[in-house]
Amino acid sequence: MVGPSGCGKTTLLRIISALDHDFQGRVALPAAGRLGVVFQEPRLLAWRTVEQNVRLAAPRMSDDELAALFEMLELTAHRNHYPGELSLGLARRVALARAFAVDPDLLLLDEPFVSLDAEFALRLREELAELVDRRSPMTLLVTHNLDEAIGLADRLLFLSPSPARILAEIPVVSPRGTQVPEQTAALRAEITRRLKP
Amino acid sequence: MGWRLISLGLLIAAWSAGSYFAGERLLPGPHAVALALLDEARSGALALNLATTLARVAAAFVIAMGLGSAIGLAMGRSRLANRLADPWLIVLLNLPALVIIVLAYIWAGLTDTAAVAAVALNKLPIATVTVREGARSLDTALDEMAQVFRMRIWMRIRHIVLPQLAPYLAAAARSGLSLVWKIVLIVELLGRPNGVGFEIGVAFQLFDVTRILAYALAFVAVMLAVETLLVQPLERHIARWRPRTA
Repeated sequence: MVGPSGCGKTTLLRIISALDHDFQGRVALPAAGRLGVVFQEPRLLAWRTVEQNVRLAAPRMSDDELAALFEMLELTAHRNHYPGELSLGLARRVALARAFAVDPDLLLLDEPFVSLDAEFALRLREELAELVDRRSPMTLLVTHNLDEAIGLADRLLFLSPSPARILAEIPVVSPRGTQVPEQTAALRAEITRRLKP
Repeated sequence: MGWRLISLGLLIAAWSAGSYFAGERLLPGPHAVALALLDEARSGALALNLATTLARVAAAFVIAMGLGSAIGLAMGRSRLANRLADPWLIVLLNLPALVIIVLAYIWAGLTDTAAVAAVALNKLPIATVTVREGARSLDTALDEMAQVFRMRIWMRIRHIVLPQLAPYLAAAARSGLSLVWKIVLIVELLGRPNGVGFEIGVAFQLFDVTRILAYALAFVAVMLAVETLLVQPLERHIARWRPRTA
């Protein structure tokens, strides 16, 4: 989901996750409606370790599953650290681990890679793509970054400035996590064409 | 540690000097007080009185902290609860300790229940105000996180609310402990047949400064032990996640 600042992307995520009740309409969640949410800020408990932070959200997770998740997100070495000892990038990764740990039916990501350095964001994006492919929860990602959107999404939703409407819905054919330059360029051209008033 | 011992030595020296100039009757020296302390300890009266007073302190402290924290949390989280309870809180905060004690004894008789209730009621509003401040500063972002991840209520209280309240609870506990034991002594002086406060009252009527000092010192020592063996280790445990400050 791509749209200008202040158009209500975060509000939409808050409505879907039942944090905002001031709306008209209906929210239909897939399956049991179990949510995994990555907020803009990591929102970790500073007084609990990395492992405890993840476990508190997913108390029924087995030790093996947790170990595998930490292994994949390269958090194994940090599992006993407190969030205050982590960089922002690592803290974001813990938030990602927490969202995946609950084995969500719907994964909501609110600009999860904003204000990370480009290289690190790229790696996290690849990890996210891998996790989504492996566990395939329905995923809604909010971003400002068109390349990120093209690289990760199956469908792109473009929102207008507030009050937001969906301006265009554009399918992405290239496999997740890969970026074929020609395809990306073609997609960018189509987006520009479709969004022209 | 060394400096502390020197400081303590200086205090005892000043005490001895003061006793020399004021006379043994007004200010008995450390030696006389130590002897009186030993005497009381041998007869068993010291241990009994200390235990009685300590039990009252513990009961009043637990009641005041438990109720005060619950009320403070409710007032900090709910505007309605705050509006309803705030006038009561202001009345209780400004009611002199002595008035509460005397009324408790008149209404409930000269009983331990009345004594403990009076002390708890004195401490209650202060604990409430402190915890309310803490409840107001709770991070709503973490509440939302707990909500979307469907954490159970007792998990939220234990892992999200209590850790954020910990500094406020610690402040309330620390100031509360010293306040409670001082008020317990007054309560005992006014209407109990035992305890440190009662003994001090008797010593006052006999003008026995030695015994007053002996009991006061003994109880200060007990509270010091509670502080170093219970309160401080607990605080260190609670703050273990904080990055060390130099």
